[in-house]
Amino acid sequence: MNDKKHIELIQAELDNELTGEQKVELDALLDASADAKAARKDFRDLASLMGQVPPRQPPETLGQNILAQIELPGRQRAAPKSWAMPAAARVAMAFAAGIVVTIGLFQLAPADIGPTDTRSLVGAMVNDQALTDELPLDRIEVGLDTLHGSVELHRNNNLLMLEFEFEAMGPVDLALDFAGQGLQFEGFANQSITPPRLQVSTDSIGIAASGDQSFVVFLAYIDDKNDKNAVFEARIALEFNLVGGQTHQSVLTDR
Amino acid sequence: METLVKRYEKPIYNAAYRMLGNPDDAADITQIAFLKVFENFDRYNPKFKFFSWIYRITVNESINLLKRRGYQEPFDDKHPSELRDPAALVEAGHLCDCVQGVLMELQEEYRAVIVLRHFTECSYHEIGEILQIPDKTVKSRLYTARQIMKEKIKAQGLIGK
Repeated sequence: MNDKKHIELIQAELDNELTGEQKVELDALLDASADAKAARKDFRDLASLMGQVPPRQPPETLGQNILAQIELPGRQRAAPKSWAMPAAARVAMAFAAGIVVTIGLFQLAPADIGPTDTRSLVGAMVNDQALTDELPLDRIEVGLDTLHGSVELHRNNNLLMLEFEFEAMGPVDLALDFAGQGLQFEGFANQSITPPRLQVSTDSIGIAASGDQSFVVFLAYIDDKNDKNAVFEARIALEFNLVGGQTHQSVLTDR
Repeated sequence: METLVKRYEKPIYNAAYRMLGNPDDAADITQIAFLKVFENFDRYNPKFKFFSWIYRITVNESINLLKRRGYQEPFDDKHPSELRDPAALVEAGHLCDCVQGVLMELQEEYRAVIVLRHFTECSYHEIGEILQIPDKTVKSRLYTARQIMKEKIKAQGLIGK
């Protein structure tokens, strides 16, 4: 019996594809050939080794993320790293649908706010169909050795949306400072596989993140700005701090 | 759709992980696969098994991602060199790293047949349907892939004692 034939038989056995007739052939081969026996043992050992590898658990939020994207009305071609739409539009759709997409939302009176970890906060966003994906009011690009991305500032009435899209090669600490700007933290929408961690205070937010990130931070003007003639004006200072001492500082301006 | 997601989320994620060797990429590809299924449900041909269809998307998207990158990040095999006994490796959770490291050294078309056969337990015919290649090609690719893996794993002292 030639090598090709015995290889085919050994593999068919390994793959549960052996017919009765082939089984007889293989038994005869193994009785007659030490090489065939050795080859069979090696392949079986290899298969057994792979069989001992336990399956990996997907991230806990994966199923929810998939369903959340599927259920977005009017959803266009969507993919985690190649979304065609800006984050504001995606979030706006989530708003319109009134669905929860790993969103933490809370409102606290300024006097009550202390350093707060929002990881456990989950809630439904308010229904607001007027959110926009128009051109940003301001935008910054960050191009460091270990971090590339952008931050855009959008506004809908008195709600500011800071869209973060970046890829960091390592951990990054972000600081948003809006002291004295008449703003307060209003919510957070995450689209990243690995959600960032937030620390919120009355006039600043700290964000710890790594890897590919896509999230939106919502800030609201504290004073009632429903007046058509109200003037919106705020400066939000951003600072990216990376391992190794690299930093990037910018200011996003609404005016 | 929720039922499908529940049923296939884990196997699809695992297939993607074995193809890509990176959990974040695997999660991304799993999402993409389900979204594509959802978007193209009207084009689904019931002549084929559903899992063949979603696995095909998963494997193709995984290969596309690797090609788009143009390079492959080296798999970080963290197991200590003194752990060479498979049982000890399993206990220490390092066997996965060893096997995944070897898988990542295979060319994508060979990796795909190994993943589908050994990690999703597809038959020759199912693998052929998923990869759209004849059964004969499935067998020859499996053989080549196993030969390569066998040599590499033997060199690590995990088999052939």
